Amino acid sequence: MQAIAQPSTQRESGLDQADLRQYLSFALGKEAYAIDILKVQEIRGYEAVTPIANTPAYIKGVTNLRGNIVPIVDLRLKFNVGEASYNEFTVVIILSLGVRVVGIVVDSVSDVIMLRDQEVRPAPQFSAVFDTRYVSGLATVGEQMLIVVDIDQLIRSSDLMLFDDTRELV
Amino acid sequence: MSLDIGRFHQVFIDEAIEHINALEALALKLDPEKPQAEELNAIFRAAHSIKGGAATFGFEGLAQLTHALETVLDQVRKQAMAVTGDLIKLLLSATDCLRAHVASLQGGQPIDQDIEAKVLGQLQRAGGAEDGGCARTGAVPAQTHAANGGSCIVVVKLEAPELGSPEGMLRIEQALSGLGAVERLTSADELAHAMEVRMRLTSSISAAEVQESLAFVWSNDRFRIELDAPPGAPADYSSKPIVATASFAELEGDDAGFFVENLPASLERAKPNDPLALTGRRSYDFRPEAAQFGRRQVDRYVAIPMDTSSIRVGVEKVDRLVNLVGELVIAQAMLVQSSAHAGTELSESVSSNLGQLDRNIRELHEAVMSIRMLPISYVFSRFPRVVRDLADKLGKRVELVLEGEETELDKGLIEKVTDPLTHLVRNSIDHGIELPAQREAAGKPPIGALRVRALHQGGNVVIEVSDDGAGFDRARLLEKARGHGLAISEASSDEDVWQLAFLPGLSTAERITEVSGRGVGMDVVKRNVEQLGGRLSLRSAAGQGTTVTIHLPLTLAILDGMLINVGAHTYVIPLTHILENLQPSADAVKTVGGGGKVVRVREEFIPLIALHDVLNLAPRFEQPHEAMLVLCESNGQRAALQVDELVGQGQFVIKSLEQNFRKIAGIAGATILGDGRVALILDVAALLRAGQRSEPALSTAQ
Repeated sequence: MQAIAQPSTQRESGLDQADLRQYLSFALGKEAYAIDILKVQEIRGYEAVTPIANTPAYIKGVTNLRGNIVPIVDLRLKFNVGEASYNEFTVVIILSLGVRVVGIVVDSVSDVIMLRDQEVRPAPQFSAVFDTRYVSGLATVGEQMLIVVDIDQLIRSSDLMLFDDTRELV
Repeated sequence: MSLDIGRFHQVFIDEAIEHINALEALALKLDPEKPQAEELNAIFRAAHSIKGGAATFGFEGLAQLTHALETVLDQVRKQAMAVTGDLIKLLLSATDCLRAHVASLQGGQPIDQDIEAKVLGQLQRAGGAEDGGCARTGAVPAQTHAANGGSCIVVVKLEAPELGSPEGMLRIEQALSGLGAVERLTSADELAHAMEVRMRLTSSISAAEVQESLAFVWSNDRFRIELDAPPGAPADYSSKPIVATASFAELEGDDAGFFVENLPASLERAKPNDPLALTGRRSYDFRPEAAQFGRRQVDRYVAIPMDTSSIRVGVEKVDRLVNLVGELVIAQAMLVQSSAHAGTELSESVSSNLGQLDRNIRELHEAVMSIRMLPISYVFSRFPRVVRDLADKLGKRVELVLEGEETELDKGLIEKVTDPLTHLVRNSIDHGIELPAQREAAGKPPIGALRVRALHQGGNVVIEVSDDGAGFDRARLLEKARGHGLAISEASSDEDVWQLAFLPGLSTAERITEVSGRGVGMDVVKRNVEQLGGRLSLRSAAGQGTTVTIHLPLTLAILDGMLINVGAHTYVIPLTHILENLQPSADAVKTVGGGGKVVRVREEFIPLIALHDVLNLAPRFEQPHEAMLVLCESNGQRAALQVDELVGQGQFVIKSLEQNFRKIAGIAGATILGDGRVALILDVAALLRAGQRSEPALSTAQ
């Protein structure tokens, strides 16, 4: 975690830092995604998840994170991409969203990158694995296109049915 | 019905102090530029809570004060009155007054009636004056503010060039005039030989603040502040600008320095050149704008004896401790497990040390868990008084029976359940129990019985308020519901009809009395309970009484439970629901129409619920006679849950699923097992309900 939190792709560090943000990029299927690193609490291996009856398959269950019960969502299953296999390389990103802590399973975690706000361009209507509602923009790093995801919105969305509507995030 | 007055007074006082502190902190935070509605509401609530408690316990002075305060705050909250520096000062002086009052209740110094009357007057005037007074004064310059100021005598030593000269006096006067109205007390004649001059300063700020302000002008040894002349020697204030403009103009009479009485002593004690000693509390906000109305001399309540037998700690700190100890328990369990694998290679001393560690950690765990838990007697202990007063008022005779006072629940819940419960108790007396004559006419004993009891049931605390009064009037509820345009059939079950009582706005007009408070109905009680994650049910029979049952979760309670396995999964069944475990013979299980199964247990047929069906799991044993049955009961319903295996009994720390997730039907919560895995706690009541109605499993799957 410590190592990941350090910027590894520092560019133009001498310039104005104000609009630079750090993102965590991860792979889901063939696409690369990025989320605001401030929403990431930690990255863990996939372990001992207790399944919950009568919930959708992508809700893998709950796990014990230092005494807190945290739900684990497999985004691969939810969006039908990648291979939903679980082994020692399976990665869970623990997100801290307001008062809630949620874990998401992705194919792999790639990097921490720095992006300027203007580098994140509005996304055209396109067919990503998830609804463009949850996409805050597109960015290019080197040759690769990154889909910048509003992870708050995605996790909170009624699509995922993670929370009762009664309690707002934040 | 024995009354331990001391105990519930202490609870009230502790709470009142908490509310007063909150009030003060919030008032200090208030920003006249842009007051936050949330803060205003919070202040109002704090005042309201004190008032409610004070009224309940018959502390009339306090109730009167808070009522006036509440009236002012209500207007502010509704934006009928602007937030001004004056208003904040008024709030703060009211806070002081409340604090002093509470301290005197606690056995401190006697209440200073004068101050209290004065603040009360100010509050009442402010409340009555609506927006006019308060908002207007906001724009008036400082020296005309008289909301809660006073007068004091400032004595300034003259220094060499000024000695005996009128200019020196003028300069001093100018310096003081920035703070308020100045009156020379040293005549020109005296001035010729005087070493010091005396000025009466009438100002809106407290003497302590005068002291602070003047410290910028003169060194501390050059001036001192004295008590003003006692009341009875009315100074000619009417000619002062103060009275002409102030909307809280009560300075005429006995205004002899509300803030000043204790000052000489306090100033002596607090070395004048130590600014912190003057303000007393170091945690105060020292932003300049806060200093304007934030600092007050606090020596007034230094004398309150501190309760050293308990400390107040933030709940989040305790929660963190609870989590950490939980982790420790798990880590220890793992250690024991691996030591068992190591077998004989492990030396005996290591094993015995592990045993010692085990005991210590268990004790630690229990101690930590108990921090948050309080007996419900904290709530119950106020009921005897409530019941007595109310019964007297209404001319009814009521015997109160309290049961299960030792039932422990989370402190947070205790606080929040107090109001709904008090409301239910009041409701029972007001609307449930009849007058003695009516009761006798109905063939009942003249003394009504009101029973409040608490018990643990599974993962819940159950609190029941029951009376043997008239019960709900079915016909009238139906009529009311129709009046509200609700289509409800005459043939509806009683249960459905009682639910109507929980609908907002449906409390029948005849039922609202002064006793039942500010129009808070059953709907509010229900909402409050539901906010706590609980549920509320009502049983009533005409002429026989009403029972309201509140089921509350114990967020942090320890649950006695049975670990069971279904397939590869482990669940916990709360022990209180379990009647017995059995393994049925093949012919004891019958299939009834529609595919449901029943099992015969000692001449009784009990519905059988296969957990693997309900939970969509692959079981190890399909057939009930191969599996185990756990006979459970909830709310008078019984069913046998089919499980694969019983693992064992234990105590489990209930963890909320909803904190990071949502409520899952059939699951009451979760717990962490010794090996760190999460096991879900079954909600037996919900399972039985679902089984009873033969609903298609638990339909939250989606």
